[in-house]
Amino acid sequence: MESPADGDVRLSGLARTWLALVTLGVAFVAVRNVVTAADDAVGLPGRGWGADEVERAREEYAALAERLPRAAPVAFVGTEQELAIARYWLAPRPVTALAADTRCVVVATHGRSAVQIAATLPADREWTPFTGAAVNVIAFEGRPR
Amino acid sequence: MTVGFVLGVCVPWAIGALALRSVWPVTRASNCLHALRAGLGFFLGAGIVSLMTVGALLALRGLDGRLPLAELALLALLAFVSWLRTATVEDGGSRADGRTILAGTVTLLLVGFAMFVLLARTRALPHGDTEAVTIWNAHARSLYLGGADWRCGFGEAGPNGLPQEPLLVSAFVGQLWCWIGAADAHACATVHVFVTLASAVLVFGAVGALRGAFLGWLAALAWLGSWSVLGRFGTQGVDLATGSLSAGAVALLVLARVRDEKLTLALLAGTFAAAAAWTAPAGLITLAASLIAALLVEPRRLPGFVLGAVPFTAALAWFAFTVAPAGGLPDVLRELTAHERWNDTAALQRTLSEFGAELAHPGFRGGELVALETLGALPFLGAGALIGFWFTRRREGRQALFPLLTCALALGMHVALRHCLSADLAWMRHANLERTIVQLWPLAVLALCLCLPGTRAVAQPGRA
Repeated sequence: MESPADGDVRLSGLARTWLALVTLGVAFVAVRNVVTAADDAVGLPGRGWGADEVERAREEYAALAERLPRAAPVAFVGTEQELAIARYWLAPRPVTALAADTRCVVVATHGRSAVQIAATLPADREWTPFTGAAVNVIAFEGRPR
Repeated sequence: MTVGFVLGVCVPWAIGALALRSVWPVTRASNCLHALRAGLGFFLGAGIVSLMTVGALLALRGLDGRLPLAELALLALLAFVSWLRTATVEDGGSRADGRTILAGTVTLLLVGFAMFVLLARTRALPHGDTEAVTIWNAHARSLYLGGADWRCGFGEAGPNGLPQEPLLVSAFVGQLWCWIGAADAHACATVHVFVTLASAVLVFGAVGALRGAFLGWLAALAWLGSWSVLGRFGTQGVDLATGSLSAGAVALLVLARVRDEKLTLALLAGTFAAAAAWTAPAGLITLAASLIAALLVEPRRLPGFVLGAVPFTAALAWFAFTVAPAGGLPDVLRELTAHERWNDTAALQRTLSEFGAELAHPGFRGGELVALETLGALPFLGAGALIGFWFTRRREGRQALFPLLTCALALGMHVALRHCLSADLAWMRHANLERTIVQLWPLAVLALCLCLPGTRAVAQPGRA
């Protein structure tokens, strides 16, 4: 066991000089990086709460989330970013890319019309609009033909 | 709602601080030791309430106002136990000298700037980056909103979804929502801000308690000096929490060398290492690295370390084998033990060169070379440690051995994972090197700063 009663240690002049040099180097990098980061942060878009993409989609998914059962699996058609947002707002429902025989398809339209989207859905199922979807989020329910 | 926010963060913090005081009572110690205990208390509290949250989900089939009541009951119990324990009164340490005050002033000024960066980035990314939205925050919503169906949120892995990620941070956010009464996105950002601050305090306190306040401030400066860390501000990822818990575990085991409460500190070290694994899969790497390093360097502390790791490891095992879907931890363990991958030396060389090139690659941001920003103060600290080690006394050098070995083993394991795991298990490979740097950053800063000669050889003594 080491003795804990060592108290302060007097450093040699060389050690103190070396420590001072290391401190200056570390401080230089830290100041440079933090100031650069602060400079970048000034230029960040001040979108704030309620204005980013995820927050904008809140209302679009709210009506759908109210009507879908909590355990309902959801198949999704859209980009990865749109999938991430759908996964967030529809949690805890498992949201995956459209592949399996799931009962509902959610589509973040981004300018696409419901007719255009319906034309891209697999033909082995009969697709009907799912009530409860909002303007920019269209949901279809798929049943085997 | 504001009261809910304050209580939802402060009650878990108080639970962690009182739990720490109940098992390791110390009063009037040095400021650095108090800082270390404050940082450790926050993360311990987060871990304890995350286990309570999971317990509430299993027992009550949902999260509601009963969880905050249970937390208050635990807080009262811990306050009573803590009151019963006799604290060790210690010498508060010598007064700070001029250079320590200067280093502290510069660091605190930079912390002010860093807070501005943190808040500005949080405003720009209120829900965090895509990873946070898809993984940890979506998991938190599943826990809070899922009721009896909460496991559905961990069903299948998608392009971005990683249902294998453990629950410490997500469950902590879930319990905060119970205090607020709604799944408010501000809660995720609030937790991230506190995690960032607690991480800085923990690194300062750990180095300060072992080497004196001046090196503590130097460690805090170095902690701020990485662009990888600053760049993760506001993203609401769990990497910083994982790295901080690992660094806390290592600091506690080093303290066990020099303080009287050896078994207590070894138990706590095991608890924190396992809590890191309960935060993110990368924590499992540092848990394994700490275990191996403890076996080699601190074999007498190993039983206590393993015993302390039991609660969070048990929670992780339950999660990995019953909740997380296929492609989780069991598959990783199977692939890691596959012999043919280890024997492929050509592939191993390729992995090593890729990893080295990626680590050494300076990188660009906005067309500007950012070598110093990516690696931060690491080159200066590394050079400082290399020569500074010569100035350290023998017992100081021995203290540095365990963190250095843990850090080196963890880095080696990250490379091994890249080599062994197939693309199907990319979630465990951490293809994103920046995340690896952040996960190891607090530990690397701690290890390198302990290679420098301190003004105080050891922390103040205490009695269990």
